[in-house]
Amino acid sequence: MIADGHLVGDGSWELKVLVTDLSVERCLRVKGDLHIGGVMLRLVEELDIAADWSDHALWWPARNCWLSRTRSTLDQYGVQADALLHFTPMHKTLRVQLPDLRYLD
Amino acid sequence: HEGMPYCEIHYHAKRGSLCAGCHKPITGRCITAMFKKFHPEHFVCSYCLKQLKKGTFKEQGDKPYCHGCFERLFG
Repeated sequence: MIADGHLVGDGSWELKVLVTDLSVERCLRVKGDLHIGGVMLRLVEELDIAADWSDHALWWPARNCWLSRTRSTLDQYGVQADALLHFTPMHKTLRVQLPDLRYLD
Repeated sequence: HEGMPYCEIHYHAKRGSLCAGCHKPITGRCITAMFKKFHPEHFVCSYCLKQLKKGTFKEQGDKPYCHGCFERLFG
């Protein structure tokens, strides 16, 4: 069955992912049995930007958790069509104030 | 090439010695993988862009990946 130009009833849905480095949001048509690694691959292929993505991972702000088990599926994490994920670097800068009141970045 | 004059790019294109990464001629060391030729520094993982050494990469969808990235993406 086709609705709004999409095949519906095949169990697929739109997953929204914000790429924080580029401040762009991408919609991927996925099914619940797609694993997290597959989502990351689809995203990077769609962005088509030659960059080192190895430090990037999917962050789920609503649940405050990383989707770091890349073999797990969206179903196993409980990610559904209402979720917004972030694709963001895992290592970020952090300012630490030491006991001698100096700051380190 | 076969008795005919060619410019450098087309000479290497005829000989199949253009790098599949940067599309420039390969004159020095050369890596052959996935039926293509690469400059050693342009044969890199498609995800982390780190240089791959021949024989220690995984291929998926006609693209090379290092073992770490392959495991994360396809594991």
